[in-house]
Amino acid sequence: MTRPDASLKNGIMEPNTAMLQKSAQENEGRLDDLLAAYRMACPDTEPGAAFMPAIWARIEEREKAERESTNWFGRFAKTLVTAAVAASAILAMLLSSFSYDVPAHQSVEFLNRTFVEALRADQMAALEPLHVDRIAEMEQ
Amino acid sequence: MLVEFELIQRAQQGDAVAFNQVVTAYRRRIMGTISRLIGRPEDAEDVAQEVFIRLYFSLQNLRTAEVFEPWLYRLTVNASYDYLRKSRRRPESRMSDLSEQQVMMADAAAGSLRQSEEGEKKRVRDLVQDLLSVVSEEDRMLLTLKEVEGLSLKDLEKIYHVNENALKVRLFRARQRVLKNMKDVTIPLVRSAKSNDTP
Repeated sequence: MTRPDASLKNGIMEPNTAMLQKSAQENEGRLDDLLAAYRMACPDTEPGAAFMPAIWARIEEREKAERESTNWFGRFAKTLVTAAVAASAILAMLLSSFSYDVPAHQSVEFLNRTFVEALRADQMAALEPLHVDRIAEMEQ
Repeated sequence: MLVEFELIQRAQQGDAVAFNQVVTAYRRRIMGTISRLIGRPEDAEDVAQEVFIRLYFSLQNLRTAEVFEPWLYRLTVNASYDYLRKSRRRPESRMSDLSEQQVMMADAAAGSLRQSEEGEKKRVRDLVQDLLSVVSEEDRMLLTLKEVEGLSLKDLEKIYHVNENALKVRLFRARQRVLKNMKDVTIPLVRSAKSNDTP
């Protein structure tokens, strides 16, 4: 005689869908019960008396560490700025000690001129009429 | 919410008394959540302190009252996760590393613990930790928040900033893996418990 929730296949009792569903439901229920028991096994507890003072001590410790790292960075930045200013001053002194002739094409007048003016100035000699006496001078 | 937003605003402005009141209101709940997330109530106090320290340093960023609790849970989940990662790296002392006297003392302690109520609680905790060990730490915490803490999907959405459907899928998969593991883990433990009962 076969059970209503099982089927016989090749002489072996195999669970049918209803059996599997029942088993799955049972497992789901067992898991829920276990998790409920877990909640009871880890109840909300009141921390010890040193809880709050320990928090403040750790906060102060971190603030102090942060201040120290900021101070170290500040000192490093100050040194770096001082070194940069000193280097700039030395370079400025060195540059001012050399006499430097500004080439014509870098002069202020040249740079302030417009393109047309510069072109006209450059081409002016070529546009001027040739003088016979001047050629004669050149030949001499 | 366990406190008025006005109290949090005062704490934001650096009022130490207000901050103390916020911690006092939430410490019990946070400690409980942490002990369930990490499965070790003896370490919950240390992790809870870390949560409130993080709260102190990030309180300035809080804008509205509605996000305070999800935000506190987020800090709790992150601190618990950090703890679990650290403890995974930390080498555990094994019986073979202990002296003979230490082994005898450990046996005696375990024997008396087993008889007590605390021993039973510890057995449940160990059993659940074993069951949950098949899923990742992130999924284990997610499952604990949903199934043990009783948080809704809406709450979890606010904590994780993840779409509700994605959370549902993740929770379903994690639960299925735990159920599959249940068949393998529970039976040997029940057998060992039965063998302990026999004289």
